Amino acid sequence: MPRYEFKEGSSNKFWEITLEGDSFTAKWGRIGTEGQEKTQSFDSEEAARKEYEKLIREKEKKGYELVGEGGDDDEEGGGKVVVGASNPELEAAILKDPDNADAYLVYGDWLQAQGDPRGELIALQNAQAKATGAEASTAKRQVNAHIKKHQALLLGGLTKAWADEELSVEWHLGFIREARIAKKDYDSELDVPETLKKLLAHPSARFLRSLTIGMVDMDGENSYDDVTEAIAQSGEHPTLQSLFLGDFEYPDETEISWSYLNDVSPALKVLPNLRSLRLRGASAGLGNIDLPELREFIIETGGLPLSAIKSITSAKWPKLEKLEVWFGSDNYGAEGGVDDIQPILDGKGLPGLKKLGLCNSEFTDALANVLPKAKILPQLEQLDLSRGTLSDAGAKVLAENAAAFAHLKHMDFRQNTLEKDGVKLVTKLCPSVAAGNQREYEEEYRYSAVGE
Amino acid sequence: MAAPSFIVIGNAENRRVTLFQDALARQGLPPATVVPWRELLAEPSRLTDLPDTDALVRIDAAGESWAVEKALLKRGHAAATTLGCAVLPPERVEALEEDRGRIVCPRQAHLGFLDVLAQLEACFAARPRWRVLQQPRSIADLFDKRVTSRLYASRGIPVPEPLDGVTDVESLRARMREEDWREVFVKVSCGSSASCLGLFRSHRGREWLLTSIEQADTGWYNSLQVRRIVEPGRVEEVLGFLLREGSQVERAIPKARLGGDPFDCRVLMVAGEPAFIVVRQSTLPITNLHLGGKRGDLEALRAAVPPNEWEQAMESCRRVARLHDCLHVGIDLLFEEYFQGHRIVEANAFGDLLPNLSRDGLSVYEWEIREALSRYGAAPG
Repeated sequence: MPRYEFKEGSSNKFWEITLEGDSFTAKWGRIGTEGQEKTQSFDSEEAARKEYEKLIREKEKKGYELVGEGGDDDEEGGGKVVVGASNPELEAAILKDPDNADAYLVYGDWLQAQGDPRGELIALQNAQAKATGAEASTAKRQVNAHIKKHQALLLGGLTKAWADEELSVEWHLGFIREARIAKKDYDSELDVPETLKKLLAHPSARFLRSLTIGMVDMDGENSYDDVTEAIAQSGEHPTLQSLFLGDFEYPDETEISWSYLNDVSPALKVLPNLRSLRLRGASAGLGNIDLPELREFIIETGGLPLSAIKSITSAKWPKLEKLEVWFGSDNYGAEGGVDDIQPILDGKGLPGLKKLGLCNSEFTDALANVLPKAKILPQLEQLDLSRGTLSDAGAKVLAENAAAFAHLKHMDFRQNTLEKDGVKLVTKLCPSVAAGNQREYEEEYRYSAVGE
Repeated sequence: MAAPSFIVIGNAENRRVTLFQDALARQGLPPATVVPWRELLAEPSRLTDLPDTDALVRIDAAGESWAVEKALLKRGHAAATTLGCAVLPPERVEALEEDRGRIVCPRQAHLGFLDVLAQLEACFAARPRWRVLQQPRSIADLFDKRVTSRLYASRGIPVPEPLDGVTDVESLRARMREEDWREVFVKVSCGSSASCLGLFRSHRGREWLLTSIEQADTGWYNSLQVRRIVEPGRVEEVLGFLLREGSQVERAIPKARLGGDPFDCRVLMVAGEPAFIVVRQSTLPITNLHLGGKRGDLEALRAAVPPNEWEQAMESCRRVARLHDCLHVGIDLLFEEYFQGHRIVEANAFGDLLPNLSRDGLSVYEWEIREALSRYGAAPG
């Protein structure tokens, strides 16, 4: 509702008016008081609107000034820090089971009673989740408008990054469930590690489930050290289930080998409930991996150091279901070969593994020789050998042992160095095979698809 | 009653046609009579020479044949001269050597195709016993993204917001500033398979264009390698070309992610219902599978999409299918970031080449054959 104020001499008055169909409610009094209100009804909507507009014109003539569109909630001043309400007990109930909506709704009721706009956001999002058709679009608009209106409270110091589309967030029942932070172009002034620190400390991100970090630095080395530090220093995040470091596009945002993951292990120590970990970049350091809840581990690199291979083969991740490792090119720091991944081929410590990717390697033909007899193979549903250096000779070995692969649901041979005959051979190995985009075959110069 | 036979208009040597014949054989049906586009273009009576018996007519893509492309270019020349797009006179078309993937006057070829579709319509009028599985007029609609985008929007189906009032690169920039949009797709409205399109970003004075177009010394090509052009002169050049050829310009909608990667879906509607769905996952915002995207996991997608979002998206697909008199339509559907809604990006008349997919033991073509027969004729066997 429009709110008008009149301040002159000792006068310090406000006047508000709300039009609703064929009636309107006017509210007036001294600034700082609730004042009094009166509702007037008319024969038609048009009559109500005419009178409503006439009254506004009169107030304006008298010198009243429009100060805002009003609202029942507290107004947010420009740059003013807004602190929301919080209730540790009710938050603990959410933490116990962050996927259960009920605890959010209880908290939402409490917050609404405190006049905290997050309470209404929880209610609006709950309604949105249940709406269909035209109602759904209305609910979506209401949610977005509410977030925008209360961004000072809901996003605090993150508002600029959000408005610049360099921080994107998913709101789930009043809280940020997923977030992605990335520099978008060369003129970006975003400080990614600082923004991440603010996010991890923000009340809205208390139940953060998924975090993705893209480009950190467009000019120099795109390194993730400070990101790792920001996570490590922010304390334990029991709700965080998914982490993706290095969500950049290559080769055009940066080369995969110009981005440095470096030692990410300090971050992993504060994320005990991680289920999905995806890393992209060079110089990966993984330390001693102990992630009891991890289901999925993906590392995409142009050159994987031997120490990282050792971390992977000795990792404690008893619930792992998907393991995808890109080995890369020895020109870009790749070390190791078939012998070094023997524990994986033996299925050591991988009782639940169903999807295995040994990708982007320069030893794919050697893999083809050992895979048919690998102990891990019978338990697998998917095998991914994409972006490697599989030749027709390697394909022939696989085809000669076709029975070993027949149980697989899917195999991926994309971007190897197969020729037509080799593609034909691998295509028959199991019901679903991807073998497109083969690369030029030059025996002396075979290399993995992604190096630099 | 015997099942009606099939007539297929297509490029006889193309795998679309050979795979369809395989599918008929697996269903125990006789092979289709194939009318090659090349012969139809040279000899319009090629189709009307066939008798008016009970038959189902399937029309498939004219692409991937140099002879057909040349014939379409020649036929589209007269209409193209008035439009301001790139034009090549018939005698110069004739002199061209085949150069695979080269982009030669896409609008001109499209106008030729429209002309053939009109010719087909006239033929079909004289063959009342034929059941045409895709009406030429509907195919023509589906080959113009400007038409479909506006048609769907007018029916309340969510599409990426089109950007109107763009005539050249300068007005494109001005309109983007007005709308406060940073990224738009510019797609030649008759293109397919991600050919002749670009994702243009313009913000804070910086610009780039992500595109499948490769500018080589010998000409411009549709490339399997999506590239980002940053050099201002070249951005200008490629955008200018796309706009002169007649482009659909629309807001680039941030896509939902699956396993960390952006994705969209190809939903193949058959007889009005979603029959096959392929998840196209890529590290790039252009997700086409031949450009390095991979087929994503449909089960994982179903687990990630809130049920009401999924139902609403399928309902939009059904509404799109109802707007085209076609047995099958291949719809590109995207879910918005964090699954907050969906958009119909485009629909394709020949979007059913999805090898290695099966449902209830039937391939895509077998499924379509079954639906065609149950709609228009006896069931097989």
